[in-house]
Amino acid sequence: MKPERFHLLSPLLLLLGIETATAQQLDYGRYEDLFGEPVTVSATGKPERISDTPVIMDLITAEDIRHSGARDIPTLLRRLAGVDVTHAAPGTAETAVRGYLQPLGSRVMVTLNGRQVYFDGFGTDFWATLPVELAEIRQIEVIKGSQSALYGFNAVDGVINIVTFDPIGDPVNSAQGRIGNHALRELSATVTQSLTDGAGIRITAASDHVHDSGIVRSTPDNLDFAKNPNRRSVSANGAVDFSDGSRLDAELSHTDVSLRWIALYPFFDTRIKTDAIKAAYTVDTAIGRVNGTAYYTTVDMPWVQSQTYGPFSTSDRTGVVQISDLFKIGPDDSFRIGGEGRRSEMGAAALTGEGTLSSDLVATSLMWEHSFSPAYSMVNAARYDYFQLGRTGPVPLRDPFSNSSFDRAIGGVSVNSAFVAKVSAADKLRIGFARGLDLPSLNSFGQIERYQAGYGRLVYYGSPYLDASAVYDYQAGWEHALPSLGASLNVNAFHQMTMKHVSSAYGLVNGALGLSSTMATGSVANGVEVGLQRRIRNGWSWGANYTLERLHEHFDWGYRNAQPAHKANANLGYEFGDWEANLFATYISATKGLVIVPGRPPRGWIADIGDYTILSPRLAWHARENVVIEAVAENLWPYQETAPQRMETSYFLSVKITY
Amino acid sequence: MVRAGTLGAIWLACLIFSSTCCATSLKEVRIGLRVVDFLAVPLSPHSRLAILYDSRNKDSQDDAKAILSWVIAERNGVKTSVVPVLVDVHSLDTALEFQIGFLAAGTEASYAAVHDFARTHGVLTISSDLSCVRAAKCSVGVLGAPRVEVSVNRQVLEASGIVFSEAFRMMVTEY
Repeated sequence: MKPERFHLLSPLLLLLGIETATAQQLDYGRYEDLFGEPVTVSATGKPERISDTPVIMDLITAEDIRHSGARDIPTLLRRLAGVDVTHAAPGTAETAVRGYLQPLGSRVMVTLNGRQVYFDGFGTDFWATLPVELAEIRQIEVIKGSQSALYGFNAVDGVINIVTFDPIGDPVNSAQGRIGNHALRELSATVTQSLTDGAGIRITAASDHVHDSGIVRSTPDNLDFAKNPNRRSVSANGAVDFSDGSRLDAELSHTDVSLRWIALYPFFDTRIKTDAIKAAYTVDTAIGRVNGTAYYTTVDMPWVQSQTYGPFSTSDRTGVVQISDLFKIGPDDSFRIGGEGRRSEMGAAALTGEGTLSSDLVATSLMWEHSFSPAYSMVNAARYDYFQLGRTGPVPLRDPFSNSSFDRAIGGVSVNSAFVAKVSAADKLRIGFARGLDLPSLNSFGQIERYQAGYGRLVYYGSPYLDASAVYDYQAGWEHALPSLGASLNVNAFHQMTMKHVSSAYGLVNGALGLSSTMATGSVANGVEVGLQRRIRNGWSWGANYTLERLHEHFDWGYRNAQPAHKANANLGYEFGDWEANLFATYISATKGLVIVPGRPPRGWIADIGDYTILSPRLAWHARENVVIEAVAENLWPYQETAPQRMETSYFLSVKITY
Repeated sequence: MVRAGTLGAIWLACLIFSSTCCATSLKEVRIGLRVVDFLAVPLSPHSRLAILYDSRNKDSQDDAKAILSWVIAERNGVKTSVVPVLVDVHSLDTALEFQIGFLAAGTEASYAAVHDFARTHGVLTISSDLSCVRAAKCSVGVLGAPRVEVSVNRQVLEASGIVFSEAFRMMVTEY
């Protein structure tokens, strides 16, 4: 089907109400007040209490964030079992849930209040471009395992949903300044304004700066690419509660980030500008709770300077429309039908041969939850995605593919099934199965990379003939409450099979040696997570978790090398009067990473990265009712985290004022 | 000796539970007040909340007084503003109009009368006795411990013309 014709079809499908949605408006604060525990919609698409959810998820609350001393979201995520975070440069962070750490090609879907912030062009999440400050966050929900039946392609390892405070019911008014070594300077402020009864707006602005540091191979060529990470962000979130019980939410945001990042091993300096506009309307109707959400996101890199293929620029546009209907039939069965229409375009001048790559996607989904009794419930979900690839614009002379090669569709079904049993007042068992779909990024489909002399002068051709890869996910979890300790014990085990990976194959292209992306053999990941966490904050607080993971590749793609087999976290905190003290420790076992050095010919090898321990102490003093002064060391000693990057000792002082 | 000890233990248990087993807790009052915020069509400001008690039962009177003091203390923490009043279940027909009825302990004998009144006047009835909801006599049941539980009776709600938001229905137990 031609993309143009397909495009005409999308609105029709929307009108027929067979689209899918991931965002659902919910007054988290009032429901949390009612039930005395956090609530979520991310797990199954229906509102539920955290203790009732059938999926295995971790929750980082606003209280956790306040006591964390963290400057960014990846630092918070690193302290969870089963979540891996590494930095290939100080301004970036690669995040993976249960394996598959890689600089590009994330398998984790990140959403901000339901808006996907996934960068379709490169298939990754640039954390620094998220228009959100930690002070605004109500909770971060980390759902482990494939969630494609709810979120679509690429949510194959998990979903991280960031939920901010409600601009109507949860006003946030604070300002924070932070200074530290490596010329760290951060300033942020948030103001919430009630407009009328039942309407409010929250405006946040932030500016961050730090010096680039920690380049492992400090050659002149590499040092030329040192780039101080800078970030500016401004966002506005508004909401209106109407008298009929319906609600309108809106978001407008802009971020401007410059940083050094890494692809494979070579360095890229870039500026990334993102803009987003979103509106969502939720209303209870005779046919259930209907939600319509639309958003448009742009990600522009006006300049990129790369070691491998020189300067280029990229421009990515994504528009999404979602609609869902949530309803209950009888006392025990809840349903959610929904659909999604999504268009993404990527123009990258030299990288796309002056053409534009595009994707159109329509999806329809169904979720059914059945409660056998208050103690036993089950949720099943299925989603069908239809993806249409396209390319327009000039075709490079030596390109093996024409525009018509990209006139290609990929369809697939994702499934999620989970069961929760409250076997006693203290014990819950969760069992889940999922079939997810991992779709290559637009970059993998159609990018043309002409490597410079020092990198072999090869040409890399993306391939429009790539496929979605199925990921089968099995997991089981046991949660045991320890009321005497005010703690809970969690033990999870998982087994995940990825049927194929996108890889590169050498071949003769127009008589010259080149590389082309291709689908290749898959891998299997197995692991166990054990965690014990005390949630009560009065006096002593503590927790620890351990993750054991084994990744078996049918061919060595490097995923296993990047995956630590052992990971352990521990935290200890104490509150006394106006003072709070916390200590966070992380141990990561040894990994390996690829090193590429330009030359004639270029050289590459696998480098050992030793195990390391990160120790992060925090001391906070509530100087006044509305003033907190905090001293934090992010890591007390330097350690090498990835092949190109060493993380230097980092400490800082913050002052936070609420008003 | 053993028999005397057993009887003593039973008597002690009866003494303890007779005065505490059915009394409404502060937590349950808080939950009950918050439930009102999730009606599909919000109540008008300053809606009247009647604390229904049995004037012939001392425990019921005491429970109602405790509920009244807690409602007064807690009502600013919820979105829907309410005006609490004490109403004897034996004088429902002569009471001032009210939109919410919070049943105090010791009103079990009047569940049927309260139900009939609520149905005809469109009153939302809340009780900390879940058996009232299960027996289709009350609209909403609230429990504070060991875990917060909220249950609703669809049949009673429908008869009273009361509708909760769909999201709320997803998170509570329905009968």
